[in-house]
Amino acid sequence: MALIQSQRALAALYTDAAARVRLRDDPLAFAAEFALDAPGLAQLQALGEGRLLAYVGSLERKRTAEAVRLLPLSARARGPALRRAFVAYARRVPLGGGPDRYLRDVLAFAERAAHDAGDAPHLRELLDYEATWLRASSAAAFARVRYYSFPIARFAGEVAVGRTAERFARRPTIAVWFVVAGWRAGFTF
Amino acid sequence: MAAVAVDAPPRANARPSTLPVLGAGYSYRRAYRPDTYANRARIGVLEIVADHFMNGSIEAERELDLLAEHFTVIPHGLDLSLGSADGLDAAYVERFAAVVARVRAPWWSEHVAFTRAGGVRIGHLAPLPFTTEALEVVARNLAEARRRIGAVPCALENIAAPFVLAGAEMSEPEFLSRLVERTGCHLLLDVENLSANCANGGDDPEAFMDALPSEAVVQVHVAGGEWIEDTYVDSHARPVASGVWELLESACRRFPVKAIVVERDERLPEFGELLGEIERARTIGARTGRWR
Repeated sequence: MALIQSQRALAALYTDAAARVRLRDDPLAFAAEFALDAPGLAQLQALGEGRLLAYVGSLERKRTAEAVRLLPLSARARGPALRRAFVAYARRVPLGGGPDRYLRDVLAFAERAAHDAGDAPHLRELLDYEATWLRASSAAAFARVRYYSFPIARFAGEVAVGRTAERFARRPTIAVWFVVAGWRAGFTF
Repeated sequence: MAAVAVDAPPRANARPSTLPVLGAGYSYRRAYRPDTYANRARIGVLEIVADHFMNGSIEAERELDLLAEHFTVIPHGLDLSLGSADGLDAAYVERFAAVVARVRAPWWSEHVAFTRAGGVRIGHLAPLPFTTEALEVVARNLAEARRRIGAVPCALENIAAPFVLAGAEMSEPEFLSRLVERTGCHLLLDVENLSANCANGGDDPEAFMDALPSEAVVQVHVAGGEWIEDTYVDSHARPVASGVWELLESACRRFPVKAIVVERDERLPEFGELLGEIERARTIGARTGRWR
């Protein structure tokens, strides 16, 4: 039982629902896919579906916690709906690599959520605004202009101090960010 | 960015007696930045999640510099993946090494786990089988990491494992003991993880600690978890439980503990609550003779 093969199979089982189905439905084909010997396959089968799914759940919670950490305003404004939306996204899209993997993960989520017609417009705009700040905060050079239909900076400020934004009326707003030589700024008008 | 000794040969860790006594602190969160500086006299050590400072931005570097100016900082890695049979991610190690060098860390820490395999990122710490092969993989990867990070000592942490993989050739404490013997690393004993594993697996945490080398543990983590259905999860989202405080005291009586770090990742409380836990950890360290 070689560690390298069993780790590759485990990584697939931990992150890919289709791999879990393949192991359950056709274990010999799964073993062949990952070049597992009989003890290696037995090790995976000994895990049991219940424990495996419990671990998958903990991985989802961890990944979602990072999203909430990086998007505190949207998490506050949307409540549990943000976690639900992120988990649905995470089940479709595997986590990438690299030290900034969680940042890229959250930005990819925000990109998709921006087109989700089911979300209220002010929440969609807040997510976009927060994600753009994340991009600006992590880039060496950056320039962006965005149009919003709500006074987005005021809205963000209200959410930051725990107030809801129900009373915000639409007001066309332009937001500008730029980062040059380590100096970064963002403003709206 | 500070220079990194990428060609330094691997060296045995410093003896525990030569490591500085740091006292009690917490795992730094940016949400607590103003409170952290305002209470620096009450914080003996700051552990930072190195991954949060590895994006290469000027802000991250400035923040590291400011933290290092006011606190003793221990970088804590999440994704070195020392247990990966595929080997290390060289780019990650370089960035991790840069953080260690920048804060002039007395030691750094990572987990006995793997987080990626076959190009797949698991996203969290996954358990290793307690086999000789896995031991050799961790030892080989640690030697490679030390070549890149330099002579700064390291401490490896036991994880909260959702299960023990079949095919084990030894127990977890025996695995850790052999790792210490093989590599000269120190141990970071997470007593919350230990408590979680014992709650879920029915093992005895005192017997676990009995089986570790008496000089190995230099740092302890404490945190709070919760029961989710019939499984205890180390969520780091609750206050430290009384049983975990008892394990901390037991660990401090047994091992040459130099630092205790309170971890809180979710449902962040008012900073005063966290300060209370830091103070309780400091008191336990003092009561057991680890510091005054």
